[in-house]
Amino acid sequence: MFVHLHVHSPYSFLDGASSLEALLNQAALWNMPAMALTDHSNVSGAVEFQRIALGLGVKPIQGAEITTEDGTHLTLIAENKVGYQSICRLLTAGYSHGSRHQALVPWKALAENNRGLIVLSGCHHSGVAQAILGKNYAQAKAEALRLVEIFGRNQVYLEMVHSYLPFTKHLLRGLFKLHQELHIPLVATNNVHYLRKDDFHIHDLLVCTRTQTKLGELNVERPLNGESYFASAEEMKMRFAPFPDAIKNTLEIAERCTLALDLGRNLFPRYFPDQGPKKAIRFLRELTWTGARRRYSSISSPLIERIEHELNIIEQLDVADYFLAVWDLVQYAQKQNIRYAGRGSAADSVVVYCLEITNVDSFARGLLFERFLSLERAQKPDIDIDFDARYRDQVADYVYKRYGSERVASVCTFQTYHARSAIRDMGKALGFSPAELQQLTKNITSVPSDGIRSLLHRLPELKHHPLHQAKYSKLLDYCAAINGFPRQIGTHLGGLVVCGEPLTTVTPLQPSAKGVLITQFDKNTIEDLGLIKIDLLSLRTLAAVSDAMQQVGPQIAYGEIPTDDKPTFARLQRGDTVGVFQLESPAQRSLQSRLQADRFEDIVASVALIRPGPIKGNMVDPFIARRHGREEITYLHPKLKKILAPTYGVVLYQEQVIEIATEIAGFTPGESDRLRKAMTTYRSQREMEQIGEEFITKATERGIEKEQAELIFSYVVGYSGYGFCEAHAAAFADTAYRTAYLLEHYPAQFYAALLNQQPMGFYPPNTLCVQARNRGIAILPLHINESDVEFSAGERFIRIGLKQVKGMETAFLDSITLARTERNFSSMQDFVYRTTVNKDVTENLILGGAFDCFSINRRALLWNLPKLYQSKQGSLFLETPTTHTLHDFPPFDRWLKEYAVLSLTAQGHIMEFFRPRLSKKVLTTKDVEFAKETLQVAGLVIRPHRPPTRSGKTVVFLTLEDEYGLVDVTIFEDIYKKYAKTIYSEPLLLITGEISRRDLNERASIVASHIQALR
Amino acid sequence: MSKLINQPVEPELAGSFPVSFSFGQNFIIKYILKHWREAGEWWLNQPELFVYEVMTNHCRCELHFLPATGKWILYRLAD
Repeated sequence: MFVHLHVHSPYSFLDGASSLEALLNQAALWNMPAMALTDHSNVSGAVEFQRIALGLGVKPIQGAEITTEDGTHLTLIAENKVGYQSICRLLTAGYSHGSRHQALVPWKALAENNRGLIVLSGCHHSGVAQAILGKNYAQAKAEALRLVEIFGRNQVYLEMVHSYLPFTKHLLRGLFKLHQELHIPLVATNNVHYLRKDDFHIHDLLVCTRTQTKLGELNVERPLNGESYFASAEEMKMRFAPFPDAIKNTLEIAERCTLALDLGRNLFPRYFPDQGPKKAIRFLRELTWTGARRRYSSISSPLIERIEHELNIIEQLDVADYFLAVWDLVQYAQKQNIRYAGRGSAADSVVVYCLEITNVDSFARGLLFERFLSLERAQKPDIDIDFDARYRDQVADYVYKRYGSERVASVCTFQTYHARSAIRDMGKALGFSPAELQQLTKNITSVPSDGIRSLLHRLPELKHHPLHQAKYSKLLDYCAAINGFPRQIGTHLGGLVVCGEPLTTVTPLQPSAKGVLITQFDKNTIEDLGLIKIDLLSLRTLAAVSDAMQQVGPQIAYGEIPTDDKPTFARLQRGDTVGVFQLESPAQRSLQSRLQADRFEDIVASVALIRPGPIKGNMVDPFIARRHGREEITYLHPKLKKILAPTYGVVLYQEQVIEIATEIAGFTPGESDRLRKAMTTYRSQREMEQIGEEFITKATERGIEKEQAELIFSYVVGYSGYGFCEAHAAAFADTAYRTAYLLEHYPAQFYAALLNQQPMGFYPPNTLCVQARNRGIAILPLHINESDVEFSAGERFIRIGLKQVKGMETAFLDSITLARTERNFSSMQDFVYRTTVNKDVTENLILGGAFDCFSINRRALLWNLPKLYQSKQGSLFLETPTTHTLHDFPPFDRWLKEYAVLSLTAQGHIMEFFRPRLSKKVLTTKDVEFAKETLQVAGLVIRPHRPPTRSGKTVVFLTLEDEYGLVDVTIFEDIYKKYAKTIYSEPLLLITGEISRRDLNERASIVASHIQALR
Repeated sequence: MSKLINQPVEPELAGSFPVSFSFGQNFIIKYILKHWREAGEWWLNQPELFVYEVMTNHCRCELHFLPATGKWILYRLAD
């Protein structure tokens, strides 16, 4: 018998080439009683490891291979729960002492956190091994004794790795000598980095990726041979034949170790720490019913039943404290006037609605609470809240203060390998050129990297893709082998975890690129540890809404915006939605004009429709045709009617997938949720096939014909990649409608607010100015005395803010506003002398037009500026400008310079300079609507992009902007190939093309046939 | 000084270890100095290699064993 006590998984990040599942399956197959997981400086795989191991009857031993502050390695094994906590604290200390890329654990920290650990002296990078290899036996002895001193005699083993390297014999001999002299027991490991010897190639490729080398290049970190595999007990015995105790001791250690990871606990802090969970649920009940009376005019029996149903589940899952904590933080936001909006599946809950966390009435919408929380899945709730971007961190700070900084951290994410990233990394290591890799990844959509071959055969447009060539066959094998492996650790956008005890008893913490501390478990595994994530996201749209509301004043309350405002819907129907949350992209504007939204439900569907899933699944056209009665509504099975009727027979929402799986195949909520998750993440082709088989078997058992069941499943799978649940879409639609209302009724204030929150949304600031101008709102120029720091708005004007000037700093703004409180600036020199603004920024202010009010042209002001600054530094006397006779810049230059420093202009559109030179045949964007057939139009290029398309072919979408507005242009692959350089390098284009309109209501767009630069 | 040989030999073995071989004259292996394994340039289909650095009755030698073919090569002789 033998137990592997030094094993790396893919969580060693590009240093482990076999999945935990594969390694543990092998251990179980060989009846190995236990296995230890010892990834480099992390325990990220611990939860998955323990779950799989216990399922296979293998004892999971938690551990980590750490690097000490002097750069040497050490293998730590958690003997028990205390030992696991020691590892968490040690890794935290290591990242604090080292850097975010490399944890270097100080020896002092090891001495302070030595409990519950069994220590193996380490691989050939260990202090002991390095000393032996350096022929410094005395040092090796000192290193070994240091371990004994820190951890205790019974806790330390000399680790022997028979790796068939040139120095192995010498190293093993040295370790044996130490053992004889110091009586420290030996232990054999194989420092496992992959399952089978053949997998060495994958490991080598991953190491090449990590070290940024190609296979043909040398790197000291690349392994010399493929001996670090998961060797059988027999082979290990053979390798260590002279040291039988080293083998025997692996079992001894395994027997000593007990389960170190506590799963399934509830570590969320109690809302009433001294009064137990009953008090929390009572309080939640009280708050919910108070909220229900506020939210609903009358409380019906079905509503009572629904709320009680939800509260019972919350009570049984013991998560009332979590709801109260979220309620507490939105209370804080409300008190601080911080705008927020709950989103995600939490909007499926009536309780959450009553607590005013979300604004979606899930009872009225008939939303499925089980999509959010169910007894069967027994998973932890996950509430996502968008906050005004300016104050999101303030809310996060509140959480840190409320619970203590040692109990709060951000959740990590793992960037995992998919098709494109796998092709890029494996291809690069194999030595393919960047140009070749670009060809190889072209048109490869976001599928698992083990599904590339299937994709190549499935899509007709990939029939001639280079990856079909035999020379890339190995590449595809390598890509498949690393499917889903984590590549690196990152920070979840807004997820915070709060713990009832110090977090380092549960997870190591390490710094992120942003500097905040992150856990080593992602959102999927963190909850198994008993932690619950609260998502605090920052949304600039909410900041813009707050800003606009402030500028509008008390005449309108955001919460009281009427939900059936006809002018707002008319705006949506025109597709005139630049600036509207979620509905402003060219695809959305086109959809709005085709859909002719006249009710809130249409907006909810819009939010869900323009997503990769529905677009690739060809759901948009049938949805619109059915919505307008132009296409018959059909169902694959009568049982689907009740589920799909609200969306005209089209599968649009995740809730519908769950209901289909339940209704057709009799899936339990847990099984349905597995299907939903598999579809939305689409991580593994194999997993999807397995679920498909289950679905079809169960459906046929329930009397559905096999072919029909297959058809229904294929229909549901077509929805893969689409990640919106109805509740989430409804929450977004609520904000979308309200922003559309503000845009319709308070355009100046709303555009000004959008300009203040840049960068945000789909369009650059100048486009927002053009849109505003076309609605009769004057864009007033920068003015050194009149401009506020930010954009400000009146009924029919927007004044450009000082903050917009390139290079402007807060200190300069403070200096300007402080000087103005005394008196307005009377001249350029008055400005220079009374502020601390530097010369470069003052130049930009001049070019932006801030001093035009002094009736001296910009060129003359620039000419005088150096003298003014010299005079400010060297003389007490104010110098008067003397060069009034200088002529100003020509108008076009003046325009360009203003645009360069403000990213927008008050002077009108650049096309106004070109218009007189253009033929009368070149239409303006406002004329395009009335044009027929072939036409020419010219304008500024806005956001050319190549989104994934249903066909997989490259299609470029861009918007042309002129002085009158916008027109969308579609460029198909043949034309794109011809003019690609022009499209992506020229700011102004003259495009010839055909009018395209899929139905009468749709805004006209252009399909380009010829493109040229406008200069 | 060392001399590259790279010629096949047929050593006499004790278990999997070489004890002697002939190459012009009889080489008796006194002891194995080092033994390691190399994956080689696997991406160019090079086979795996077991390397034995041995001290013989004449000089230091480097023997290669190719497990894929079972062949032995006298790779290098050294002073």
